[in-house]
Amino acid sequence: MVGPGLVVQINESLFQGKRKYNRGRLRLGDRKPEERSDENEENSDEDEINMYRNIKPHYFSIDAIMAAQEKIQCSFIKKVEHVDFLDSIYSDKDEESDPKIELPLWMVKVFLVGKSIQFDMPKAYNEIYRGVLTADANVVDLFKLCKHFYLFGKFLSQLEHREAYEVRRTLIQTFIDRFKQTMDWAQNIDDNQPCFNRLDCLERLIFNDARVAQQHLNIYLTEGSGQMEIAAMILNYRKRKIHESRVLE
Amino acid sequence: MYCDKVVELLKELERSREDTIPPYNNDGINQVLSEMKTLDAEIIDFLRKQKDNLPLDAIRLRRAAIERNKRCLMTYIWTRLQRLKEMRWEIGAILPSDVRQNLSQSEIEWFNNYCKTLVSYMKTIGSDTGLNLTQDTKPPKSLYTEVRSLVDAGKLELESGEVLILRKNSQYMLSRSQAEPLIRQGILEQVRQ
Repeated sequence: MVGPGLVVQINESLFQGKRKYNRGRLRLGDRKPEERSDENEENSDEDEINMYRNIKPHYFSIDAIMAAQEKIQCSFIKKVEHVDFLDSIYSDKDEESDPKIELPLWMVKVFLVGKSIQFDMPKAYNEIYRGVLTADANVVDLFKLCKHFYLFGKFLSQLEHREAYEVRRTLIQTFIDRFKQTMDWAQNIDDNQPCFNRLDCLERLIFNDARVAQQHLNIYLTEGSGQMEIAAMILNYRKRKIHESRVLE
Repeated sequence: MYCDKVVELLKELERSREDTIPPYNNDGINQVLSEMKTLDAEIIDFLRKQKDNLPLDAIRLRRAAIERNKRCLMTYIWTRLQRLKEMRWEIGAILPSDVRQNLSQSEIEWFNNYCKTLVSYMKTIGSDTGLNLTQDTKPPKSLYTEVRSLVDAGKLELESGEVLILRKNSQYMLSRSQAEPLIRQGILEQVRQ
């Protein structure tokens, strides 16, 4: 293919990042950031087919709803009237000058529109934990720290806050750092309950998919293809029945 | 606080295993609906009473709560429907009675309609007899296959018109198309080569 006088046609090309002295890997870091999707993003028809198992948050995603339910500690700048459950924090205003209250994320979002609230980053995303995650993300028990670590963090970083940029960066780095370990666990350890417990909801989805894929591969390698099997749902249904009847006895 | 009840509903759904459908929580849904009505009435009340100097934050919050309630309720129904849909493909058109008990009236209606739509779609594709999409989910290697019966299932009428009596632990040679639904239901087991 190569030589003087030969014409080579290139159909597609991708130039990005810097390469010093033409050595080493291309750095993907200089890529232009993709447009972030919003919480209430509308899915195209094509996506909708796979929406049930989709990892991306969508309108009907329970995980996204639960993540927006996580509490944030915040304080009011302006007084908000006619909301019953907020009255209590004003009643003991004399003792404290800065009344704090924990509100779910979706409420905070509402008050941010009117600029009547300010909030601190929750524990898992503050400076100390960002430091921990940067140092070694693999040792952190994410599920204990925050069940919906990535989703909640993503929603948080979309709010107006001075630390939003750092949070976003930490999230991406944490995911990259932990991903290899997650895949490792899913594919190589049989009794992976202890590892599984330390994963965040999003990682759990990936973990389960990876495990199923690995099992399929193992079956294919040992037994070949074309075996017909009982439907998983019926199998589980039977197991549950047997279990129930045992409990009754 | 607002929306606590609806979140409870979703938690209940989330806690249940992904291949089951928990009982339809009619009470819970009615409670959420009445909460939404109260919120709506409160907003209208604000608008009527104070023509100027509206409590904007309070109204915005109530509106957001209504929207969120709506989203969560729809998610509740949608998630259940997805599971139901999957059951149609996994289990078939006839649901076990204890699954059926957990469904609401409109869900049963939806399921029946879904079955009808699916069947009429499968009739329109393929050659004149239609194409059964639930069959041959894995690429077949041969037309016939050896199977072992796991239960005393009784009579089975073959495509040729012969009648076969399935006894536990005995082996048969069946056409793949006839064996597959029975294997999926757990009545037969494919003998591994």
